[in-house]
Amino acid sequence: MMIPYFGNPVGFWALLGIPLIVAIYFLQQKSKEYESATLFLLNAIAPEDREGHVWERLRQSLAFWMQILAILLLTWVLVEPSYPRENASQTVVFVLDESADMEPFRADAQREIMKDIAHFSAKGIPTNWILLGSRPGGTPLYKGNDVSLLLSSLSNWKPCLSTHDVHSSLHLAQALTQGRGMTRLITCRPERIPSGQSGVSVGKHIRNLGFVGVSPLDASSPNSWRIAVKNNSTVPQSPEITIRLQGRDELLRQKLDILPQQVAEFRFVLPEGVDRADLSLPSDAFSADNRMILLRTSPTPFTLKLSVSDKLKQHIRKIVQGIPGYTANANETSLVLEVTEDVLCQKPAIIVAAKGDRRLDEVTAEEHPLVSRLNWSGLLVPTIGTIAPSPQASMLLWHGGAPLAWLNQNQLILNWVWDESNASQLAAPTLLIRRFIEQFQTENTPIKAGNLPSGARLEMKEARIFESTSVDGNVTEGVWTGILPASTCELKIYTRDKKSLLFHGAVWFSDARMGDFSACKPINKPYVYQQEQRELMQEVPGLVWCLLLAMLCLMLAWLPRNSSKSSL
Amino acid sequence: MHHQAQKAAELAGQQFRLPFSRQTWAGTQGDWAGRGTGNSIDFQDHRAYQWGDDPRGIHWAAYARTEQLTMKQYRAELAPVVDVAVDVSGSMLFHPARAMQTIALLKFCVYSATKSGAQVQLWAVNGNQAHPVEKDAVHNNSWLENLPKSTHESPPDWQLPWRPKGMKVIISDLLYPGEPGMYLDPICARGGSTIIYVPTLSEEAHCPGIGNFKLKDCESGKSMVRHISASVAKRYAHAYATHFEIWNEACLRRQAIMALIPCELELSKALSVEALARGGVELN
Repeated sequence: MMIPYFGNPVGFWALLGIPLIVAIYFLQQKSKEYESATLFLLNAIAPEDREGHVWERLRQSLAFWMQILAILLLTWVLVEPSYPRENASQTVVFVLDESADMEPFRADAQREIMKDIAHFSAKGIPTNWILLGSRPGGTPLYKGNDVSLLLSSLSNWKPCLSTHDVHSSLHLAQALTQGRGMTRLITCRPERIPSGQSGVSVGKHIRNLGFVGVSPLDASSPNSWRIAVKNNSTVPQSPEITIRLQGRDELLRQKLDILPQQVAEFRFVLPEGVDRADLSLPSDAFSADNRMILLRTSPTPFTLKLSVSDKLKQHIRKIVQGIPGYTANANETSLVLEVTEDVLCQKPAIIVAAKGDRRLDEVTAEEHPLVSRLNWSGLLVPTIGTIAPSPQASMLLWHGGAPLAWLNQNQLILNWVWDESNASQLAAPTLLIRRFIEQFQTENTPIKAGNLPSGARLEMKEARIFESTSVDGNVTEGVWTGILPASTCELKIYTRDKKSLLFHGAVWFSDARMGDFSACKPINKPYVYQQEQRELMQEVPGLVWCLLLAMLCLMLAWLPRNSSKSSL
Repeated sequence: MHHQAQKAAELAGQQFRLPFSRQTWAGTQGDWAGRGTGNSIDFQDHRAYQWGDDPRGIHWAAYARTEQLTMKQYRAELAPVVDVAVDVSGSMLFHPARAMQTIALLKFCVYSATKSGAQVQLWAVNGNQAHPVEKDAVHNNSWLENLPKSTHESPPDWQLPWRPKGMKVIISDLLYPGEPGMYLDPICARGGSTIIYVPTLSEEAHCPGIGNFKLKDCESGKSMVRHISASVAKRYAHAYATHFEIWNEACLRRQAIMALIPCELELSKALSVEALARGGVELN
């Protein structure tokens, strides 16, 4: 037998009328004292009533039972019993915010989902449950009608993404419901719930301390870092950072005093002979920003072969002095970059025009990473070279209508007479040359390395497979999408056959906004599906008759009372 | 209450008297016709003169006709013997109306008997204890106070020293369980007439109402909680009426007169309801 759904459970409070009526009856039936000389007659005719049992007094009261029946009938009407229509079904999609800051609230999220499941299951409508992560393009964590499997999937769910847009997942969820269900967004920050969307925020303010950034001290020393730690709480904290060096037993410790909502920095230099350091903050509820991995990065050595004017030689030497990996003395493994005036050079080179025509015009820049955000307005180029760009060339600068600088495969062509221009006094040409040299160095590095922020884009043409090792030692392998993982890990990127290692570095959790839980608070945006769900239900028939019957009972309850009064 | 009862008794005594005329009396000289010969003016019989007879009784006219000394005999005039027993148990006195009617009935009996020259003997019965009551105590209203204080749950014991051939007047509510015969037999055993005045309360004829009642027994003072339903009330009313019908039947069988005396009415009116019709009283 199907238990009906009660649309108005508040109506059950009407059952309190029963004890109330019983109490009233007991008060009404309080014994009146009466002195009698004929008790022997009463005892003779009704010996069974001698004790005057309390329920026995009520048993014979028609009014009492009529009133109780009326209360039961009215309660039945008030609770609005209903049951699902034939062929009724619904789809409920839970969209789980997979942001890493949901991690402290996993249990709360599970609790809310269980409450929602209980709510939606209560009506007995067959339900298709879908558990969907907010990862754009992600597959559902669960799809089916088995709640226990859903909960099992939920227990395996681990939020670890950086800040991302949940709208695409919500749109997918809406499409999955096909207009016969609802979507619930489970998140920890109220602002992530779009207007008009049913959702619940399970977040709350928690004290958190985490790494918020790491950057090399300077370009020439890539294994010396400045590391920032933020205190996301309302009280000062003095954490002790533990640093474990690979291959060494002793732990280094760094004590910091950080005021509320402030950032403190400290320096760390990876000792010689050590390739990896694991930094740990004291554990707290949000663990994503408590660990950091730093790997030693060794830039690929390169040297220059200069065959240009002395002035330019001197200037370029100044530029490369600040680039890690530069060595004046070439060895077998060193890359060689020529700086020449030979336009026929086929090797990687910076080719500078040796002679040209005198011409005055404005310099304008193309949209290209090598020249972006550089100011060329002060560059005076009185003599334009005669080098003609090839059809494959990527233009960088124009001098009026004439090409001034371009990229031709692994060559940078500067089509003007350097010594006659003021390029040595300006930052833009200097940075252009530096960027090109760094790009040359990078592109020609067989295995790239670095300590990179999470979620950043890393373009690698041949990259197909990645292997990440979390701070806990869990290894994850997957298809490389060009986006760095969202959590702290050691990362290796391989080619398709996994035979060639393309990248070996570390990723640190960079989404500092997630570590600040001051905006987190619990909120529940109500269901917007209730009206549609009501349409899937139909009322238990006969409620009007129940109401009329209740009225009749009340009338009958009134009548015997009057007649009993007249018999007194 | 005693004053009111006195007035009610006197008023009733002016209209009614105990039914002395319903029987012949034996005993001392009085105003009522006896069973034997006496000094009244009512001629009864003739007989032959015997030595020692009072010559004033010789029927001289008959002697003249027959020359035989013949004596005229007249009916004796005697004083009645009245024994009055009043039930003074709790049930008789707990209700003011019944208490007053009981006292008025006793005073009426004393008044009527005294007025008729009867020899009155009074008893107050409480359970198995019987206490003689002085006539003067009834007049000065002290008889009730002089009785020893005691509570008895047992019904009254009517085995009193009833005088033979006398009039036995019982004042009792008869509200006690048991076969009426076992109470009446000791009373009616020694001849004479028996009159039972039963002061009744109309409210006792029905249950006090429908519902729960804490009923206190006026005899023992014990209380019990009872639920009285409509059916119980109906059966109670029937049982109450039946109780007195059984008593009445038992009285008829023993030639005793039982008369219900409604306590709510003034005594003279109460006596005219049933007692007069049944011969419990007679008009003066």
